[in-house]
Amino acid sequence: MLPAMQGVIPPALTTSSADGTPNVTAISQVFYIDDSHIAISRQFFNKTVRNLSENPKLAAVITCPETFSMWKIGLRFIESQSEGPVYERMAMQLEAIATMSGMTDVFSLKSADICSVESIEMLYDGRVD
Amino acid sequence: MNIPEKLVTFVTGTEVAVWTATSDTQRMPDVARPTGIVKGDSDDELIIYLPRKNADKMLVNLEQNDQLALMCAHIATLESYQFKGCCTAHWPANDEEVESQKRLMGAFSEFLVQIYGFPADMAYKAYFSVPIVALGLRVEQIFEQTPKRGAGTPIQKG
Repeated sequence: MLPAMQGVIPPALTTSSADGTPNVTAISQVFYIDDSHIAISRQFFNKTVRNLSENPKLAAVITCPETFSMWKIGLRFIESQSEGPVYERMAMQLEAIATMSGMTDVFSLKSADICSVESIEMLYDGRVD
Repeated sequence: MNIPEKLVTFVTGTEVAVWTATSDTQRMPDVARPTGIVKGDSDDELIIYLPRKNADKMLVNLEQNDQLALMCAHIATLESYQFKGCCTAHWPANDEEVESQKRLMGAFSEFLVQIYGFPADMAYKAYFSVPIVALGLRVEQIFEQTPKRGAGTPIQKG
């Protein structure tokens, strides 16, 4: 799954407000921390942030650029970090992504949103198709 | 809310990536990749076409909570919008609808080749499969979602 976390194909991220209204957005990266945690790059995210303050559940779909294999990851928001080693590494990776997509004057990391991985579902296995 | 014509053109085009989301009774959101979008019969309606194999959770969620979100992003410019509203109905896509989605996904895959160099059939195989289920979305809100300052701003009623 790690190639799908390099930010080549933007992941989709969805949250839900407390009243059940879903929100879906494209994000720059899902960043691998360890086998049970990832971080999401917070750059603009107004509604996502408000939803997470009401409801910590979220889901993301990541896509491998080599095979187009896709995974849906069920997540639970833990905390936001605006400094520290995870934040620093994400900021560097985001800068590389911004350079590739011509968005260096737009993409700026506000915080690294740390999440625990609750479930993983493979949606499509591009290696066998 | 009536959907501005320029946004209908945008969201039904062959150069946009689309994602749709629902939420269950425990407020766990779900997200899936449609094949494409067409305009519905009324000016406030869009039809979302979703491969059936990825739609199980969506359909269960919609039986309990009809709220539906749709995000569309141009894959070259990143111009993006989000549409929110309620699901009015869902039905198995008929042969004509399936063929139109085949053509749309084929064109999208070709555009991916032009922009990113991905093999055309790779994206097509990942995103397109049959059978397909159609979801009717009555749009109630539209948001600017292009990654820039102002992302999340509601678009004024047309």
